[in-house]
Amino acid sequence: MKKIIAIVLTLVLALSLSACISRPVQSIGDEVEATTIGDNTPANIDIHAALEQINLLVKDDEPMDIDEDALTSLYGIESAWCKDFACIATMGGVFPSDILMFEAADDEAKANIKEVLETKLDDFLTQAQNYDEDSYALASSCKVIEAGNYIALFLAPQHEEMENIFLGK
Amino acid sequence: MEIEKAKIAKRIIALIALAAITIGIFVPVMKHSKDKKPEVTTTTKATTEKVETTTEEATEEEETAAQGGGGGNGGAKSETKAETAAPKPASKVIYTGGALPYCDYVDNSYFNEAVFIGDSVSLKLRYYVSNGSLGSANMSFCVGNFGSTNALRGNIISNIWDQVAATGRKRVYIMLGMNDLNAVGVDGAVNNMRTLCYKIQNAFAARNGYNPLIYIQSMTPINQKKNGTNGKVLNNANIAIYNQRLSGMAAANGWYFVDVASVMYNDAGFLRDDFCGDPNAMGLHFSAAGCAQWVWYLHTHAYDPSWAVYPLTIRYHKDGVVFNTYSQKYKAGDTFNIPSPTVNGYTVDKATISGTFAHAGQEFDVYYTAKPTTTVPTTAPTTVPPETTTTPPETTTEPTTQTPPETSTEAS
Repeated sequence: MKKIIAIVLTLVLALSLSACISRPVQSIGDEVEATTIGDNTPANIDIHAALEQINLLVKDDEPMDIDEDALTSLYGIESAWCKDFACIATMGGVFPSDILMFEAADDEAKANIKEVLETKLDDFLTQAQNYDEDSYALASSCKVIEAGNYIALFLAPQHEEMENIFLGK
Repeated sequence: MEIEKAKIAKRIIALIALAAITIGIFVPVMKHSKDKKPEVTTTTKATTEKVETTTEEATEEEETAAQGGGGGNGGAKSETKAETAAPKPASKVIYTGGALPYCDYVDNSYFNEAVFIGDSVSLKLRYYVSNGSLGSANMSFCVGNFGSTNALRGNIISNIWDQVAATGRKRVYIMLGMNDLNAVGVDGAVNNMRTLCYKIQNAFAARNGYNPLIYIQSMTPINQKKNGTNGKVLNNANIAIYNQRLSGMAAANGWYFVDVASVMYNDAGFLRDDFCGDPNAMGLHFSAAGCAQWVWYLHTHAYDPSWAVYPLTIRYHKDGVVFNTYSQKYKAGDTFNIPSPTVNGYTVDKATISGTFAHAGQEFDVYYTAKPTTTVPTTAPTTVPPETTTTPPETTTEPTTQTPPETSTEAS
């Protein structure tokens, strides 16, 4: 009997201790790091074809085209940095979603775009903290993705599917 | 003896078990509740901050102005839908406080001189107007989780008043409150908004040498499903009180109140479903249709002091009655020099009426006295002032006076 009680008590204590250990949380100060895709990346990405597929995912969220002017006014990205781009934002949800895909003009331009996207993601993380759990979880799980001369950010609930579409997976 | 020892041992084991179970249950619960309620910490900090940063309290003038109505949304309001509203004929207005009334649809260039400050509600607008429907308005101070409370703390945007002043824009549109009501309550949110506006005003004066035109936008409502689920204070009833207080604050300080919320309610007093972009999340962020309504409202409830015209009224008295009236409208800064008409057999106390218009109408009385030595005088003036009308003179008040604000006259 005593052994059973001891085992039960041990389990209870073990469970309570494990509950007390908090999960590591990404802090606001942490820099967002871009994910660079390896050898499986296709040499060329048809970002417009990818956008067509992505549009199907967000068709109920009021997608809105982002043109050159909006690219500058909303994100501070200059069109000269882009050899090509395919971008939309959606009006549904608590925060607008940003679906941004670029083919950079050159390495320097790519670095500029990357900096802007990482800042965007950092800002979103700051704004979402203590705001609503879903937005913060989203901000914590999104990444800037690089593939060759292409770079993208999918700040949207369906970001994993979008990333796969972008990478042709 | 052995039995007693065994009993004591059992009791000790029981106590240990009880303690273990207590720890096992309550520690995770406490930890969980701590994780789940970050807003509690925020509230405490924000409240403390309010005490530190809020030195201005609501004045009696503001209370009077607020009670006068004007901008508050006391419940269900349903106004004109953007798509169906035809612009009215030219109707430049004399602003007398309260919510800005309907005006001609101003073109986008009006907003080229505007800078917007807002939270995630305005962030939606920022995206929506990236097509230029608010001209080249600076929307960079519309960010999620922003409020007057954390603006004063500077933990999302530091010294926003300096940054806004640095834009050099003359119109400052502000909509804040949804991240303040839960944190510091209605009074705290109004006080912090006032302090923020003062700081912006002072920063403009120091940096640019002029006062900005401040347009306080009313806080927009929550949809029916989510009203009352976003914290203890953030609900439509308190939003209505907050807006009424903002209206009074604006009138008392010479700022303009833009009652955007007035066109966002459905008949039941909640945010219209078609205007809500997050009906199942927080129920207060806009859809594209809601943003379109907002843009339309801003275009049709605009104002600039330079637009105002003020009446000049001169009444000519003879034999105890007003025998003629001069009435004309002028802009601020205009000068006038109106000769009094000659009346045979009478002398006039003021040969001319002259002056310069400020931001107010002016009225004068001119008296004629019969000359004692003359014969029967004629009763009609030999000359009359230009554009004489018989229209009764309008009375106006300065924008900053404390008269109860009029309710807005919307298009129907």
